[in-house]
Amino acid sequence: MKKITFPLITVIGIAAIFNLQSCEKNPDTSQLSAAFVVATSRASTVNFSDYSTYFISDTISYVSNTNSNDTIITGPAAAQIISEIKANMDANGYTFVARNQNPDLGLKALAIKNVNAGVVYPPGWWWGYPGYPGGCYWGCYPPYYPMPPVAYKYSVGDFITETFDVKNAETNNNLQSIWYMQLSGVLSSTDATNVTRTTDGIDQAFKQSPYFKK
Amino acid sequence: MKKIIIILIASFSLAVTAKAQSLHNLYGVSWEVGFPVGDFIKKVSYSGGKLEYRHFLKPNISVGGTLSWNNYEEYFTQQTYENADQTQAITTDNDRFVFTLPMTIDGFYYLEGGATFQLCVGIGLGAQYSSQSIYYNIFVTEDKNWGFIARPQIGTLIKFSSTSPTRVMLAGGYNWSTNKNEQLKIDNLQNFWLSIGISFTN
Repeated sequence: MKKITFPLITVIGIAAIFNLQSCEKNPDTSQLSAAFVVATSRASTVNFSDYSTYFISDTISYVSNTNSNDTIITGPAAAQIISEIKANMDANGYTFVARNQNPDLGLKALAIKNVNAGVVYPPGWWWGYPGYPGGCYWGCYPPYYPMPPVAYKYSVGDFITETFDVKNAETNNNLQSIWYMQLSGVLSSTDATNVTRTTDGIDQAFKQSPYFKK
Repeated sequence: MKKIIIILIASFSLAVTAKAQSLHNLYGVSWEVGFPVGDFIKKVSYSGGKLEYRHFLKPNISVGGTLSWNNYEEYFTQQTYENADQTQAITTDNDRFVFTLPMTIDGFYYLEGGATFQLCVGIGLGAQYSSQSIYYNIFVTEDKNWGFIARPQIGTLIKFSSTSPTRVMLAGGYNWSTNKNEQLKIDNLQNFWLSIGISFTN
């Protein structure tokens, strides 16, 4: 009887331990905020105080794999987001000018929705996408990205803003991307919430880039 | 603190004065609490366990094997992280998670075979599987790897009675492994641990 009881107790004990807690538990991600992840990248050799003026379009380029023919975002949502970028640029000492007034900096905004999951791409990969003003938008110079790529994985939505050195494009014979902002995260079904998350993210991007000022 | 010292001295005295007793095999299951060392996660884990087997070559020497596991997790509020040359920055809150699964071959030396308490010191050497993850928004950065592990430890076996094959196991130790994650800047994994369990002997 004792010989039977001994292994039985052992088995019950082991089973109880495994039942109480399986080996690898699932992480509790319920605390995670829905705020966009804010990533910024800069060209290390650029002095941002060398620039004075900038231009940014009042529309946002749009790339999506959903059933949409839109390639740009206009209207109140775009206006609110572009205004937030302008407000931060103005606060940092730069002056907005029209595109035909030879701005020192050219900013371009892009929104991506539901493109794919698990894709890693560097800044500028969307160059040539419909709606994206490549080619001769800032002058006929090839794009140049001296900063290391920001590798990331996205699933739902991104908002990206690039800043190009238009002032020295002719001298450098390329259009250098000197500052890159990327907001990534899950999108809400409510546009107002997405706009708020985007404007909050824009403010954070400038906050974590104290070098970006006149 | 004074009470703890008195208990430890009493336990040791009981162990070294008790009568020797021969054991052949020991099977144990334990609950293991982990205290991580390093910056990646600092929060204590109560989600660990251990299964072990010991075969006694002599009354005071055993060899065997242990399979243990632990889950470390800690939430970090929103903050900005920069790379070394400060050309890149990222701001987010995040939940960090590390799972460890050490598998070791163990050797123990017992300070006299005890009737009630039996103190032992030992070391386990083997391999450790581990996964390290950072969750942020809906994203995850994760790596899984294997490393060499060393588990020096001390412990005691406490008998319920002179005839009972069941013993309570108390132990504490330190884990050091070579599991490395360059993406998350983890050069190795280290932790202290305490365990309490039950064992069956014959």
